[in-house]
Amino acid sequence: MNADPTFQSPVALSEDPTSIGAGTLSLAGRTYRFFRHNMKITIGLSLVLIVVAFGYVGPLFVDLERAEVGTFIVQDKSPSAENWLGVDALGRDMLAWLIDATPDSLRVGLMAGSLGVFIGAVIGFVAGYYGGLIDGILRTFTDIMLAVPALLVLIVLASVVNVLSLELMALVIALFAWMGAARIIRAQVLTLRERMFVEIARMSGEKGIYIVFFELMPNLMPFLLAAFVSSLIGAILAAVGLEFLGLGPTHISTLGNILYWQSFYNAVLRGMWWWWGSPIVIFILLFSGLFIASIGLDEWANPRLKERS
Amino acid sequence: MNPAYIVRRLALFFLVVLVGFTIVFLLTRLAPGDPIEQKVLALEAQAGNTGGDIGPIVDAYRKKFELDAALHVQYIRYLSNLAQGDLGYSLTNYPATVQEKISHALPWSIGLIGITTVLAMLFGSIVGALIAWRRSFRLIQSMLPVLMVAAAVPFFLFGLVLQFFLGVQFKILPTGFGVDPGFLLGWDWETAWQLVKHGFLPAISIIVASTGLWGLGMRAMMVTTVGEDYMVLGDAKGLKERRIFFTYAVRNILLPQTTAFALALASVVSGQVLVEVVFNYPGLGLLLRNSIGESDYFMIQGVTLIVIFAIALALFVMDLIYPLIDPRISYQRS
Repeated sequence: MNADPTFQSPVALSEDPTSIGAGTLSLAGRTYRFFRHNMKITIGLSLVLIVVAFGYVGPLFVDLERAEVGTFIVQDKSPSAENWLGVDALGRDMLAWLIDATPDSLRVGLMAGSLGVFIGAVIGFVAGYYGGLIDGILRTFTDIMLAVPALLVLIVLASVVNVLSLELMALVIALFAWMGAARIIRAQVLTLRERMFVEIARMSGEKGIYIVFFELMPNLMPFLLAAFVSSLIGAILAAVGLEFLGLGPTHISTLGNILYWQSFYNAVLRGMWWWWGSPIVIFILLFSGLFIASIGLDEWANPRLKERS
Repeated sequence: MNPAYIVRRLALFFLVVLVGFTIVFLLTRLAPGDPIEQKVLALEAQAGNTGGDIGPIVDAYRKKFELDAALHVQYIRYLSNLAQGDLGYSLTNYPATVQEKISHALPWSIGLIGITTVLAMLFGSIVGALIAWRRSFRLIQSMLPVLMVAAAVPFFLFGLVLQFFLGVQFKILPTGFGVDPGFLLGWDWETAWQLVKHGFLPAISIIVASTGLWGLGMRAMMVTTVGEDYMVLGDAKGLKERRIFFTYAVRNILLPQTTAFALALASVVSGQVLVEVVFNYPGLGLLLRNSIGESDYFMIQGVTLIVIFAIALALFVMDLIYPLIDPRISYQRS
């Protein structure tokens, strides 16, 4: 028995009525049916979309100049009609600051998450497809990397590098955000490899690369998506941790950066709840959304996990 | 337990430690930026003395800290120092060694993680199992979203919220530190009370978050266990509900859950580091934050190495104990 649900063999996706491609409905109809049947994905994505909209649509309504230090003279101001989310100790409008910071936080996660899932997928593919000694080495390496606390290693690195750019931070985080993806993909490739259609492709003389991309890939898409969301969560978590400790990029506003400054100015002890409270609300929306979506994607990829009702 | 398994597991333990140490070494030596130069520059600026030639000073220190040798020579020295348990000196509190500082902080961190892990495992397992148990209360069954949010949100954010409400707003509990300022630790009830009082908020922040993780894992296992034949048999025999729940269901899935915990250990530790920072709790996390503030580079590296070692050790011990308590697992070679 294994506690990791991803190790269970998957039910063939084509047999799952809730997956895309079922029936003869129109695209819109199928999309609607998909989201209807996978409520967790729908709810999770909606929560994430709220945060994305906040960051990308917000600038149309709020002047980001208000996020500059010293824009507002009356300091330590709680939320009011003029400043909906209050003002921080240095005269920055919290709402404008949050809107300014959200896209960059999402970008770090997106860059690190996609790179992480790419590395993980390649390692998982190679390990699962070729097996034997290669598999042994790669699997051991994955297990080892899982035991290394990424945040701490990142802290060591960030403390040596003077100025960490957003891209460099994302790159380094990605080096520690691929293990989950590698495990999931490897397990799936292992079971898929022995399946009839792969066997047939192999017997009809198809090359390894062809089999990987045209026979295995389509079947792995749900798992890749689930792995991507987990990598994304891990990456944003690591980025926030670094920024909270003051080790992220200092010249760019990110959500973690706001948390660093509130801690620097003791916002909690001074009772300035709007300063730390508002980024936390965004984080709760974002992390809950991603997490629920990832559980939903897991269930979609592997319908056995769904509760029988 | 067969000896071959122990040997293999021990080899893996050393491998984990070696790879972890090597990653730290490579990342720090190959990254642009020089901790010594930074430190000297910072000290110069502090003394109001900028623009002077710091080259010779930096070179002298690089020699002293053996940072001037070729990379492979440095690597061998680094590993042999570590093998002797020598983590070097603290840059900011010079005569103090890194080991000294860490040995003061370590008991706090280990105590906190030990207590929170046991409690989170207890709560999480029961709540998670009850959510998937069809005959439990509606209220508990509807708690799944709560569990998800608890599992999703980073530990230290809970810490901030709790600190504000219980510490600042209602002033029920102290907002930080291990004990009251000026309090001397001893083996008495007063000390115990102090530790509980100050440890309560950090502990709760970690417990809430990791209860979510345990609970979700437990629920996922329970969902697949409910339909098992032995469960139906227990029901057919007319066993008491409580007996079926605890001895038939929970007991069987509790042990596989520990593997899930082993996988999450590294991230739990990282989460705890940040919680300690929020609460000024005198463990490794706070030591790390202060070292970052003082750019005490050897200290930062030392703390990281110790944590890598501790996690590897914990996983090793867990893997050795695991087959002893779970008779279904055997590591005989097939």
